Amino acid sequence: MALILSGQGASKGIGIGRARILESGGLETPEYTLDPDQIGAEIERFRAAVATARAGLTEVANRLGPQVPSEVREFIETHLLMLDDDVLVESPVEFIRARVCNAEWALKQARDQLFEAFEQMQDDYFRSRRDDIDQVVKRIAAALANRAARSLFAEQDSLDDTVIVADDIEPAELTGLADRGLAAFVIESGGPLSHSSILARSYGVPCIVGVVGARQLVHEGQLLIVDGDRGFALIDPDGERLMRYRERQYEIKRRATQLLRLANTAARTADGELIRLWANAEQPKDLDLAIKHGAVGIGLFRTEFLYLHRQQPPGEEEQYEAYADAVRRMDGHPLTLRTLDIGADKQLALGQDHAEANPALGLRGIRLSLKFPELFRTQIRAILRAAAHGPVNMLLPMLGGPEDALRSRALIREAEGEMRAAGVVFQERVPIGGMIEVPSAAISAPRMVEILDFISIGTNDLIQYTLAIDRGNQAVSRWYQPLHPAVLRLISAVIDTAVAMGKPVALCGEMAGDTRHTGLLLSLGLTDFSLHPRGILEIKEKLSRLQRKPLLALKRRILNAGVAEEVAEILKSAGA
Amino acid sequence: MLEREIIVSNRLGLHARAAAKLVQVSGRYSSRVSLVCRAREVNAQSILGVMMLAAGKGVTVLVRTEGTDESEALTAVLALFDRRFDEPD
Repeated sequence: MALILSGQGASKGIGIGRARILESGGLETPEYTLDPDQIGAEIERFRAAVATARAGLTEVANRLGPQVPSEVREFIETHLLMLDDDVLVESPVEFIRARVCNAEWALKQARDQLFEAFEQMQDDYFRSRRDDIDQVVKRIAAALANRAARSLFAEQDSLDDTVIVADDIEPAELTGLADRGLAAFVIESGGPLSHSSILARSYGVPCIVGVVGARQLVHEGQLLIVDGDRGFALIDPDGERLMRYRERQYEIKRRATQLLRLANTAARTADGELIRLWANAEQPKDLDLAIKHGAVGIGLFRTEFLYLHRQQPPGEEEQYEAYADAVRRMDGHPLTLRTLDIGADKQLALGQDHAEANPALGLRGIRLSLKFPELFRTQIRAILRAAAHGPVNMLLPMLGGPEDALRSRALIREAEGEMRAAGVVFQERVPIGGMIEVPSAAISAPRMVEILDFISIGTNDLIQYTLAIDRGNQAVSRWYQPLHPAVLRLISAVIDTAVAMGKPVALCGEMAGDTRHTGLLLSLGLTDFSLHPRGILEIKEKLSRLQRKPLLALKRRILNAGVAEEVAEILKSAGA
Repeated sequence: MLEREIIVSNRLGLHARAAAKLVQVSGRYSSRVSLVCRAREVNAQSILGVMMLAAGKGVTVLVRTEGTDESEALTAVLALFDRRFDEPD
C-alpha cells in the first residue's frame, strides 16, 4: 500500500522518479558573548561573510546561461540587493555592539525580527517573501561557518528520473538544472506563490509544495509519483498504480506533442481559409519560441528592452547589433520592429523635468520620437541597416493621425538620404507600418492606410482610449469591455479600409491571443493575428474548429449591437 | 523636498521584483528617495524596507525626494510606477 504525501500542486504535470533527499542548508546557531575588545573584529568577520556571500551569488549570476528563465535571474538580483540592504546587513552589526555577542547569533536575531514583520502581513504573496530573507541569511551564515553555500549537484551528475525532496529550493541552486531530465520537486515549505513554485513552473518541472515532514517520510532512492495537478505524491506505488500514472504521463506528453505538431501546419479555419498567425516578442529569446511554435513571423517586436534601466539611450551600433542578431535568429521569417514606445522619463536623460499628470495621454510612443528627432534617427538608421540582413518591417507606435505618419515618413526618408550619401549599407524600401491604437487614427483610417504600407491594430490601447478606461483601475474595470460595439466598429472600419486598399492589416492586442475572441475577429474579416508565442498553438487549434464564412455573415448584426452582452450573445448562438 | 502621491497599479503591488526595480532606479540619484505608506516611511533604496510596506495593488503611496537631483529622481520613480514596473499585465 502506497503512502500518500499531501501538499499543494505548484507546477502541473506528473513526475515519476527516485527520491533524492536534500539536507537542509540550515546550521546550528552558536551563541556566546565576546570580550568587549573583540567587538571590532567580530563586526569585521560579519562584514567579510556578507562580502563572501555576495561574491558567491554574483558568480552564480554571471554564470547564468541564456536558457535560464528570467524569473531565476530576477530572484538572484533581488537576493543581491538584499545583501546590500542596510536593513539586513546593519542590524546584526548593531546587535553585536549592543549585546556583545557573536555574529551568528546577531544575524539570527536580525532574521527573526524581519520574519516577525513579514509574518504579520495579510497578503500571502508578501508573506511568502520571508523565504527570500531566509535564503540570503543562510548564505551569510554559511560564509560565517566558512562553508560554501549548499550546492545541489556536481555538473556531471545525471538527474534523469530524479525527484528532489527538500525543505526549499533556492533560485541559485536551480540554475544548473534546466535541461537535466529532472522528474519533479517535493518541497516542504511554501505555497503556490513561493519562489520554489514560481521557479518550478518556469522550468516546467512538476512540483508540489507545503509537504510537511517530507524528508522524514521519504527515504533516499524510494520510488515516487508526484502529481502536480492534484497536489500529492505516492511513495513506493504498486505496479498497477505505477502503470496508470505512466499512462497518464504518456497522455499528457501526447497532447503536448499533438499541439506542437500543429506548429508545422498552416493555420486554417474549418472551412479551409488560410489565417496567418504572427508572434509578439519582447525579448530576443521570444523569437526562437515564436519560430518553434510555427509563427509566420514576428508581427510586433518591442524594442523597449534595449532602452530600459539605463541612463543613456543605446547608440546606433548597439541597436544595429541587436536588431541584426534578431533578423538572423528569424532565419528568413519577416520581423516587424516597432520603434520606441515608452513615455518620457528621466531614464533616457532627455531633459524632461516634470512628472506628467497623465502619462497615458502624454509624451509617449511616436510623440517622443518626433520630439527628439536625434533619438528617432538613431533607431531608424539601426533598423534600416539591420534590414539588409533579412526581411524587416518598421512599425510606428501611437500615431494620432495622418500628420504623425507623414512627419515620421519624412524623417525616415531623411535618414535614408543621409545613409545613401555616406555610402552606408542599408535596405531600401523597408515597409513602414503604423499602429492604429488611438481613436483619431482609427477614424482617419482611409488617409492612414494610404500613407502607410501596412497596418497593425493595437486593441489594448484602442479600447482604453475609446472607452476612456484605465485598465489598471479596479474601480472602473466593469467598463473595460473589449466587445463594446463602439470599439468593434472602429476595428472593423480599419480592417475594411485596409482590405479595400490592398494593404496588409494585423491585430496585435491581447484580443488576438484570447480564444474567446477568435470567432469575433474572424467575423470582422481579420486574417492576420499577432499574439504571444505561447498562445499560437491554442489559437491554431481554435481556428481549426471555426467556420469563417458563416461568421462573416454575422458582421452586420454584431456591429449593429447596442451593448457588449448582445455581441457575446450573437457569437455564442453561432457556436463561436 | 518634493512629494507626490501615486496609486500602486501593477498587478502584484510592490513585491520583490518591483521593489528591486525601485531600489535600482532610486539608487541612480544622489537624492534621498523615500516612500510613505500607512503612516510609515521607508528608504526606497532598501529592498526590504520597500517590501515591508506590503503595498498591494490599489494602495496609495507618497513618493518623497530630497536632494540636488530631487526633481529628476521623482520623475524617474513616478515613471516606474506609471509603467507598472514593466510587468506584463
